[in-house]
Amino acid sequence: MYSNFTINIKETRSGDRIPVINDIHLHSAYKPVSEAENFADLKRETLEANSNVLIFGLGFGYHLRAIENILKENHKSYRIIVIEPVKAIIDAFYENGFSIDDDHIQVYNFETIEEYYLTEDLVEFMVSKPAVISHPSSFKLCQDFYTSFMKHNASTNISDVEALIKSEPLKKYFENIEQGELPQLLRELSQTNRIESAEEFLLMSYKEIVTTNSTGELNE
Amino acid sequence: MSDILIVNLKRHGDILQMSHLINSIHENNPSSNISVLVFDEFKKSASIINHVKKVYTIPRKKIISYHKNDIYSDAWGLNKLTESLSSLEKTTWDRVVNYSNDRSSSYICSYIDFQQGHGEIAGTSFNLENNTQNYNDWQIIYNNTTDLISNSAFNINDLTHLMTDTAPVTAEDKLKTNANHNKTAFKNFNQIRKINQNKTNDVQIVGVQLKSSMASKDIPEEVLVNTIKKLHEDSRTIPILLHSPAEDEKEYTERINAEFGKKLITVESDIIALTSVLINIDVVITPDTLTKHMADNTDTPCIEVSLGPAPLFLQSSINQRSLVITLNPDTRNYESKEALSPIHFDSLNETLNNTIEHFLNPSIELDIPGPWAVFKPVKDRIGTTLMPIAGSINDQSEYTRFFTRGIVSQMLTGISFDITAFNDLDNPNLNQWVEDQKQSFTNISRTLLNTIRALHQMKTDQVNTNTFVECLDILFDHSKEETLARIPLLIFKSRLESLSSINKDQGVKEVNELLFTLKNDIQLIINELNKVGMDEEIAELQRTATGETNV
Repeated sequence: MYSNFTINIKETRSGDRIPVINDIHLHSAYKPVSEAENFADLKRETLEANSNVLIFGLGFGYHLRAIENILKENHKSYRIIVIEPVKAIIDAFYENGFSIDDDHIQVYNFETIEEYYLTEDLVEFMVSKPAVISHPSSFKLCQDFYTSFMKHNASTNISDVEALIKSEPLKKYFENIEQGELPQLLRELSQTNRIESAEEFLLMSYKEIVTTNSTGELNE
Repeated sequence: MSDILIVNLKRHGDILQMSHLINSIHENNPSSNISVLVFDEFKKSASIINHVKKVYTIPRKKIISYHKNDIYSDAWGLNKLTESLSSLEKTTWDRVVNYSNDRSSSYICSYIDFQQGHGEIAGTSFNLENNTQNYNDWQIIYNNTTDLISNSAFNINDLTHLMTDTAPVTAEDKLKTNANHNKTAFKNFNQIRKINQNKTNDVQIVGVQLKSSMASKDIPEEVLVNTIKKLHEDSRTIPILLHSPAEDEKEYTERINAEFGKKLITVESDIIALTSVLINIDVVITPDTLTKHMADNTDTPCIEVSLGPAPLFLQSSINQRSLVITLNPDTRNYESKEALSPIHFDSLNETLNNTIEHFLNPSIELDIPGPWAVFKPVKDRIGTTLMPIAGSINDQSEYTRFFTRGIVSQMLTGISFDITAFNDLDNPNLNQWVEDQKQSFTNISRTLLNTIRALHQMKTDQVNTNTFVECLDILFDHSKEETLARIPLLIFKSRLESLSSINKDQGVKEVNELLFTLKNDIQLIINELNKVGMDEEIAELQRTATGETNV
C-alpha cells in the first residue's frame, strides 16, 4: 500500500536518528526522546488504567519506549501491539539498531487492511478493548489507512466467514450450503420447520446469544 | 455413575439458586458427576457451589463484542462458541438439565442432544421441526413465569426440582468456603460480639446489604440510614454494612458510614468471602441480590425488601426464618425501572423497623402500614411458598395463588392438598371469591364446549374451521385472566403448540384429546371449589369415592 515511500534518516542535534518521509518528520527534529516522554505523559491516566495498548505508528519507537515505561511502572503484565502500514519504516527501524521487547510488544504490517482482520491474535487483542493511541506524525502520514482501518466492514458473505471458521463440522456445513450472507441464513434458520444438522442448532444458539439484550448486559 | 450437565445461562443470583437443585441431585444420587455450563462472567458463582465436578463456560461478552462491531467477522464469535461447546463433547452426558430454559440454552441443549443422541434433556429443547418440546408439564409452568410473575403459585426453586423430577433434599454445605476466611470471620465476629459492652449477651449481628444491581430494587438511602440508626442504638443488635469490592459500592458505604461518624463496622467481601461472612452473622437485611441467594444457601435468615422488578413469588428467600417485605403484590409494578417513590419512604421505614422488631421478638404482633405487606416462607408438600402474615394484600389474589398451588400440584403429582386450610380462613371474602371463580368457570366451560363442538363440526364442514379458531382464541384469552383455570389453560396451549400432526385427521384427534384433558382438569378444579367450606369428613369421603390419594 505504501511501498512508494522513500525514507530519509536524519540525525538530530541530540544525536538521535529519526525517519523523514515525504517531508514529514516522524519525531522531533531536536529532542525526540523528550517529545516522546511528554507525549506519553499526556496519556498517563489512560496508561495507568489499561495494561493493553494498541499504537498506530511505529516511527523509530521513541513514543513506544516512553509508553512502555509508564506501563512497566503501573502493571505487572502489559502488552503493546503496533500497527504500522509502511514496511519501509519497520525495515529502517531495525536497520538503524532499534529493537523491541518481543515478550510484550508486537508490530503488525500487512499489505491490505483485510489481512489485519484475518489475524486472530490481533483481533483477539482488539476485542479486549485496549487503549488506542495514535502517534500523531505516523497518523498524519497514513491518515487514509488508519481511518479505513477503524472503519473496516467485515464481510458477512458465507464463504468469507467459512474461511475463518475452525470447527470442521461447521466449516463443512457452510461449504455445503448455497452462497449467501450469514445474517440472512440465521434469519431463515430461525423460521425453518426442518432442522437438518447439529450445526443448525449451534447457529441458532449463536443467534440467540448475540441478539438477546444487544447491550451485552444481563440485567439482575 | 451418571454424568449430568446443567445448563444455566442466567446471572449470579440464578446460578447460586441452582445450588439447591445440585445439592438435591447429589443427595439423591451421590455417585452422579454434576457439571455446569454458564456464561464466563458468572463463573465465580458457579465455582463456589459444592458437588460440581466441572464448570464449563461460554465467553458471552466476547462473542457479543465480535458480533456488535462491524469490523469483526462473525466467524470469530462462532469460533469462540464452538470452542467452548467442544469441551462438552468429550463427555457423554446421561442427562442434560436446561435450568435457564431460555432460547439460547434450549438450542444448546438441542445441539448436545443431536450430537450425542441418547441422553435425556430435562427442560425445554427444540425438536427437528424447530418446535419447543417440554420435558413435563411443570416445564410449561416454568416457561410461563414471566406471565405469572405477579402472583405465581410456585417459586423457581420448586419448579426446577419438579420439572427435573428431583426430590428436594435439604442439606448444609451447599457452597464451598475458604478455611482462612471462615477462621477470620468467626474470630472477628465473635470479637465484635464481645467488645460491644453496651449490648445484650445474645446480641444479634445484622448484616445490611446496601446495594443491589438496579436502582429500582435498592432500599432507599434515607430508609437505610434510619434503619441502621435504630439497629445501632438498639442494645440487641449490631449492624454491619456489607458491600462488594466495586468502587461505587465502596463509596456508597463510606457515605452511609459518614452519617454515623464512620463508627460502623463495614465488611468488604467478594463472592468467596461473603459465604464466610454470612455464616457468622445472625440475619441480613437485603434487597433482591445475590447476597440473598447466598444467605439461603448458608441458612442465614433474611429480612428481604422486595422492590421494583424483584420477582417476589418466584425468587424470594426460601429460608423459613426469613421475612419478605413488599408493596401490596396486587398493585406492585414489576416493570418499574424507577427507584421507589419518596412518598413511600416513611411507610417503608415503619414497615422495616416493625419487621425487624418482629424478627427479634416473634411474640410481638406485626403492625404494617399500607401499602406494605410482609410474607413468610413456609414449607409445604410441594416445596416453599410465601404466606402473608401482615399488611396490605388482596385476599382474592391470595386465595387464587394458594388454591392454584394446591390444585395444580394435585393435577400434576396426584397428591391432594389440604383444602381445609381454606376453611380456617374466616374472611367473608372467601365465599365471594368462590362464587367469582365458579362464574369464571361457567364462562370458560361454555367456551370449551363451543370449541369441542366446533372441532367436531370441522371434520365434516370446512367452513367451521374459522369458528374453531375463534373459539380457541377466546379460550387462550381466558388464560390471561387471573383465575384458577389459568395454568390448565397455559398447559393446554403449550401442548397444542407442540403438536406436530402428520395429517388433518390425526391433528383433529390429538386436539380433541387435549380438549378433553382440559375439560377433566377444569372439572377437577370445580370439584375442589365445591369443597371449600365443606366439612372435612365429607371432603374425605368424596376423596375416597373419587380415588384421590392423600399423602
